[in-house]
Amino acid sequence: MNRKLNTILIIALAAILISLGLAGCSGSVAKKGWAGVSAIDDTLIFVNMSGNIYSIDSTNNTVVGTPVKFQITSSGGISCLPSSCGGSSTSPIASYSSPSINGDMAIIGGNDGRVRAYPYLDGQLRENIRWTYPPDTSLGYSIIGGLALSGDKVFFASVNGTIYALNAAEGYKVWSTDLGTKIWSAPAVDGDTVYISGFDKNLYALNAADGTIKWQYQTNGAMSATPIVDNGIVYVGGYDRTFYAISTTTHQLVWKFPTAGNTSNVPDNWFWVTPIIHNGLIYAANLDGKVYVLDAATGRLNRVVDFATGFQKPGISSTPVVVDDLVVVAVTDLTKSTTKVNSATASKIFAINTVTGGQSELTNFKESINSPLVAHNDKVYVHTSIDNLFVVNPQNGATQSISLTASTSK
Amino acid sequence: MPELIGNVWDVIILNPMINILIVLTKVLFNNLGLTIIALTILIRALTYPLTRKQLLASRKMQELQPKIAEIQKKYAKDKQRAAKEQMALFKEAGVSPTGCVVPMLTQMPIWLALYQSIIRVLATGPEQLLGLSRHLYVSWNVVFEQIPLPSHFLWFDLGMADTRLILPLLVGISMWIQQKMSTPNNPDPQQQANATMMLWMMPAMFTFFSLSFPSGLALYWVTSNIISIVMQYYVSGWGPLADTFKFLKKKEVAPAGGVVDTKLVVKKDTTQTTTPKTEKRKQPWMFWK
Repeated sequence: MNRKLNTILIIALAAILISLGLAGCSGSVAKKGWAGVSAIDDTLIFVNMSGNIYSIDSTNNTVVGTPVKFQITSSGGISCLPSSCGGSSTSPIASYSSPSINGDMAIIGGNDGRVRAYPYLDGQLRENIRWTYPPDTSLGYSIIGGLALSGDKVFFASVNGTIYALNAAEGYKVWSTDLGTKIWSAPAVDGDTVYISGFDKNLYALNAADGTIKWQYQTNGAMSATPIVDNGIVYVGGYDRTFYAISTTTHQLVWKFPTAGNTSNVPDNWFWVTPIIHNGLIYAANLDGKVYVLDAATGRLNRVVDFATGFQKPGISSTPVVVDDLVVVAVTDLTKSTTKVNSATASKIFAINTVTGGQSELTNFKESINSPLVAHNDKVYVHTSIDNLFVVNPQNGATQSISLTASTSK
Repeated sequence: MPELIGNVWDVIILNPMINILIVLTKVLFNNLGLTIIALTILIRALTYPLTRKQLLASRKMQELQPKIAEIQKKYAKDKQRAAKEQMALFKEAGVSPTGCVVPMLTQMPIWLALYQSIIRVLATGPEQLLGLSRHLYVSWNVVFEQIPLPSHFLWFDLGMADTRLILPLLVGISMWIQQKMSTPNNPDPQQQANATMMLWMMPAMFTFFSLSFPSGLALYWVTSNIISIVMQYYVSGWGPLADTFKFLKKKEVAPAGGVVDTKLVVKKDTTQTTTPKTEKRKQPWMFWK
């Protein structure tokens, strides 16, 4: 009896240990990324979660040539094990933003703490890297936010809070400034100023020429959304469920939503993604699954677009996109698995007609969507959480899966 | 069905734990490390009645080991009779064979929820932070303003593995001590082999996990182990640990705070422990007694 009990105990403990181990591996280590696509002429550049950069001909949505490897070789044999145990292994580099296109070059920031510039030639991205920053090592910190190109510089921040300006053509550092806070957002450049939001609840404005801090504005919540700038106002939403409009000239708050003391229409969750501005209206998507349409000048609530999804926990974790007069939004059920095809619908794509105010469901997927939606040639490209790429016609919802097998070679 | 179980688990156990953890961080000087320690102590204190029951049952079982061995030897050829005699012995001694398992299993969901909460609030990457968003209480504005939690504590980043190896070693050592204190020397060679394997396997595995897991979890494991050591000591003294470290045998402080001659506690040769003869003084923190 006692022996049986001991055996049961040992088996139970072993099972707990294994499950703890597996939960730890998948829950705390794995970063897959969620990059969107970018376009050079008619070619789409797509960084997938398996460490490949595909060149896709957008005229027929087929892959061109062989994908370029976006991978890192490390000394750890198994990703869950420390690097001191096991041999070397190659693993994909997670990327959380769309590649930045600089003429005939695609510049991509990686979770490994390096920025790489790949040349584009004859309709296809090429393997021979034009430049890497830092050239020989990693920054030591991930790059989660995307890159922003302006003039001859490319701007980005590492998660430890250092913002960099590199020469976009050759990749050398022009300046760097340590903001002393965690940063997951991409910079936004307007004229000679770089704007970036931080986890320390501050919106920073830096001089694009030398990186000196011009001014900063403190909100009540951490921010990871990329700000947008329009007509002398910076717009950004935060984790305090508040959306801010800050003047670039007075550096003061122009308005915020919801206003202080307002208890109606208070968002239920974070402003996680970059807002959209269209025809004088801000479309601020929230993780509560709603889009708050606000007057860009006054912050007055125009309307709340509440998508009737039937989801248990609808959320918008993917940056929407504008196509003509449509704002296209991906709504995901946050309770669904992001690592496999769900048995039921996990996400839906909607179009908000900015003229009529109406909304329509375009299509749905059994996969979650966290990557930013990208529009090209009046089509919307959707990268799902299990690494499938779809193209959706926003006019009629026609959806096509893009096969990542090469069909042509140039 | 698994989805329903997951939802019930989230609503009843995980979500409250996560939100309390976040609010507690604000109260405790915005320090997540202190919060992990405090919440672990709080939960272990609340579940102490169950732990104590488990430890006492385990100790009683240890005390019966010589008699069980005797029965097994006596009825080596008649397993059925051996089992019957063993059950009679348990009944006579007032010991339930599942006495140490049931309280442990009862506490398991709470520990698991604490473990999951710590993993979630550490939110080391965008995927994890996004996952955390759905567990927050909409009506608690403070949790929205508090996220993401600051991850620096002492010399380490709670969201990353401790590369100085101090925490992983502390996890291994504290777990080994706790295991050693609670693992009796068993007359049955098979069971002794199992026990020895567990004594080394568990600390080794957790040390290994601590090398790659966020330090916040390692901090939770170290805290939990130290609490277990203290509880174990108050219930049954140093136990077999005193066999390894002889200086503990000389003057062992009794659970009541008095001094016990360990010759009474540990019998030579058999090395099994017996109940300390000194009467236990009620400690001020033992409010449930």
